[in-house]
Amino acid sequence: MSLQDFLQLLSSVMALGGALVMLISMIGVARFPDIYCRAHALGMGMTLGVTLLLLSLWIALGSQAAGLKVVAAIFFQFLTIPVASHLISLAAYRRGIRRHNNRPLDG
Amino acid sequence: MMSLFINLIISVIWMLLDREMSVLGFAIGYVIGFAMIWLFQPILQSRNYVRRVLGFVRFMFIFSRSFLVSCWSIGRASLIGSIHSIEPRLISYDVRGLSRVEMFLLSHCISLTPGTTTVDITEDFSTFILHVFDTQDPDAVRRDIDKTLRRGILAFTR
Repeated sequence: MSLQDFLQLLSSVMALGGALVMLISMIGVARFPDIYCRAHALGMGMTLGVTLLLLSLWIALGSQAAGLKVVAAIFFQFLTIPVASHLISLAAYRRGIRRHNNRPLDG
Repeated sequence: MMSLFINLIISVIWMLLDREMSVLGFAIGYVIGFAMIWLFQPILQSRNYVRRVLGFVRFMFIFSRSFLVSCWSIGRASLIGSIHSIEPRLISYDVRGLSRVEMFLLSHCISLTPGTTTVDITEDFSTFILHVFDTQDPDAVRRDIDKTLRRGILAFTR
């Protein structure tokens, strides 16, 4: 098995893994009881899933063609996704949207 | 600051002298430059810089590990098990004594880790309100954040 074959295999496995992570996180979004828990599932799927997909793209293209573009894309994913999930939770908290089992703060 | 400058210069020179300019060349140059600065610590007075860079690298490893572990637990919860058995909670987390930049980094890393999200911060910037996906024991979550994220961030910001 040459290095080329190995890289191709690695890239396919990572693409499949990323798609699987996103599928699992979407099942989580459909199943979880309230908006906060759904934000957790969504955040996980976006960060890990998209990162795996982008890394697989990086390996498939080769670092010569892709350069730093993929790294920049991953960097911005990691910069923006937590902000989005924080804002969703903050909006829900300020509006007082019902939580699963409604425990009080620190309760 | 001076050490960072020297390190960047070494990596740029390494990249330019390489057969072809590439990101990998820059990375290798940075590692070699860092090794040199580490060797000549007493002359360059770069102990602080070396400590911060090593702290940052160690933090990256610790963070990746806790990131993957909590991804695994969220994924398992979304596939198997009853959704009524999970116990989401809002907990408070004390951040007095941290600077604004450290607070920003800490809240960002908390939100980035699946299973915990920073929901709000009190008006006087003393307490985070976190949402934890599934826990029986809020103190265990606080200890965990103290041990992995807070200590790791303080290792390279101070």
